[in-house]
Amino acid sequence: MLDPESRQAYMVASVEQDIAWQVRINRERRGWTQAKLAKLIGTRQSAIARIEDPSYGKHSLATLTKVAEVFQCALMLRLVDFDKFTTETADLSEDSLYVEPYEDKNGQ
Amino acid sequence: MQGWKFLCYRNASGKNQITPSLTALSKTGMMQLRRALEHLSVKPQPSWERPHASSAGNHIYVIRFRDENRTQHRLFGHHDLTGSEFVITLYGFEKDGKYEPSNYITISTTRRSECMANPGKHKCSCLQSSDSLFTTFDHKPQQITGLDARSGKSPSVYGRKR
Repeated sequence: MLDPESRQAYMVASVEQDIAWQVRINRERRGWTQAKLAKLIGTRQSAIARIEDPSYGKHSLATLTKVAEVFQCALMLRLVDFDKFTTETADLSEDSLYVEPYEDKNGQ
Repeated sequence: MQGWKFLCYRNASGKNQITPSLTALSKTGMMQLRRALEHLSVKPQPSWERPHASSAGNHIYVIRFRDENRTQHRLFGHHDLTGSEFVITLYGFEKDGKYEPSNYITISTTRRSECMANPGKHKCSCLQSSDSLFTTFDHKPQQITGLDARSGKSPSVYGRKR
């Protein structure tokens, strides 16, 4: 079993890296450049580059909420036990990290 | 897709040149590496781009991760021609946009050639039973996280059977 410090470090690494990958994959699958995403959420391209950097580690809830809005998806943030966390973050394939825009999914 | 299996380079004397550096990482560094490998293990080679990884040319790729001190660690290596393995051949750093050691491309390319010529001699598992990196995780060797993630799934890191 992982010691508490490693467990915490793994959780942090997962949260930081997963969101970075997910933003990049969802942006690319929409055919958007970093500049276009930046324009849509009212920031600069360099800010998007930071968001997509798994080493950044300083993602703000406000920015991620805006990203979710333009991706037409939800941002889920909740406290869970570690077993649930590992189960729900196990599949890291690009398909699993992609979220179809709500309106496309619902034919609107 | 089938995931990349991560292997380490060993020299002509049979000494693993990578694992000692990995086992010396802080817990934060180790877990950042672990998650980076879990991600890369299920990503096709074209997705191995900055900022997650990058090509250094000459078929050499660089895996990027940091620790709590924001030290930028780097693992240099190459994808095996079988399309199923990534061999880590050199451990280093990046500082001010430059890789250390500065002759990383020479070392990595030479070691790649050695691996291609005699894979059985120069490729080995990154984790040995006596390594602290191994004992940090509660897994059977074949399940160890991104270092052998053919399944494309991250095993439980908390050691609880399901």
